[in-house]
Amino acid sequence: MMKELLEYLAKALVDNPDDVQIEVIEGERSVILQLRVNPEDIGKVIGKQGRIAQALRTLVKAAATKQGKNAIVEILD
Amino acid sequence: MKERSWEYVGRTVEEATQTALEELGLEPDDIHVEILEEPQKGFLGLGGKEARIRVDLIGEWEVQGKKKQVKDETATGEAPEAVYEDDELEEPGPTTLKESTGKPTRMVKDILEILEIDAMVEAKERDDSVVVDVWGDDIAILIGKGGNTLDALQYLVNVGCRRTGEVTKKIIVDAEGYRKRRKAKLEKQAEQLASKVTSQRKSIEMDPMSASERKIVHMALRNTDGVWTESTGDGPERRVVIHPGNPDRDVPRET
Repeated sequence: MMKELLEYLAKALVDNPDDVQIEVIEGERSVILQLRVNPEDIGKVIGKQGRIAQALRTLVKAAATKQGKNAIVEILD
Repeated sequence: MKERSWEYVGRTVEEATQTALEELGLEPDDIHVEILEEPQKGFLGLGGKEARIRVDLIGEWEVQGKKKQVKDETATGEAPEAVYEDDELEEPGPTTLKESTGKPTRMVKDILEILEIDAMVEAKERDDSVVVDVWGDDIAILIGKGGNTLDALQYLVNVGCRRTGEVTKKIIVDAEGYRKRRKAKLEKQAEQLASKVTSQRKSIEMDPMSASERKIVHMALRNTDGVWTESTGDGPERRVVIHPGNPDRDVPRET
């Protein structure tokens, strides 16, 4: 659910949706989601002062809460 | 339709109730609180038990759309000025997917589906905005604490739908009229704090809020005698401070 959500949102934000990749590292209580996008699109998933990244984290965390987990979103470049 | 109730915990019953009201964006009159477990003090901070409450929605909340709006108006006494006023009471709004409402509606629906939230989505086009309202049993999770999740969703829907220029109007994402209720609640809270500031002659700092919510507070107290307001702090910590007196006479204090 979290991966699907992050993938959907990231694809809606970038110019190169086919280059969106997410790796999930599953822990006992938390999940790390590593987001990779086309280098040209990195600003589009971070936003001014990280505002888009922050909003992505808030939504993914809400999805995680629904499953009783904690989620960490990392944006890799 | 499922019963609309939620369970909350807190150090005290009051604290749990407060959290519930904030997360659900409701007024005390809208809910019935049942105490499931009284809090128990632990020894030296150990072994204590939190208060557990169940919150049930009361009143007309099972009714979709139209009636809910009517209740909103009457419940707060003096009909609060709507965020998006005009014809709300006359027409429930057709769900025709015009070009400008189509894309935001689809995006919100997709996200709800991924989150496995069973909800109805209704979009209306206004002169200066597109309003996408979500109705459902399980949408507290979509609102989040102080509307955090709803604000994040709204922001991403705006960025996602407007980046290509397909949609130019501002998109407002709402959940069961949450934004309107929240506005009425903030205005009431601002007035209560303002009278406290006046009587105690001491500044009061509010909780951190988003820019649009801070604006609601500033506007609510703009013409209130004996107090003035300013925002302090950075980023997510930015908050409104209500000061006694007059900004021209009194030096703002650092808080």
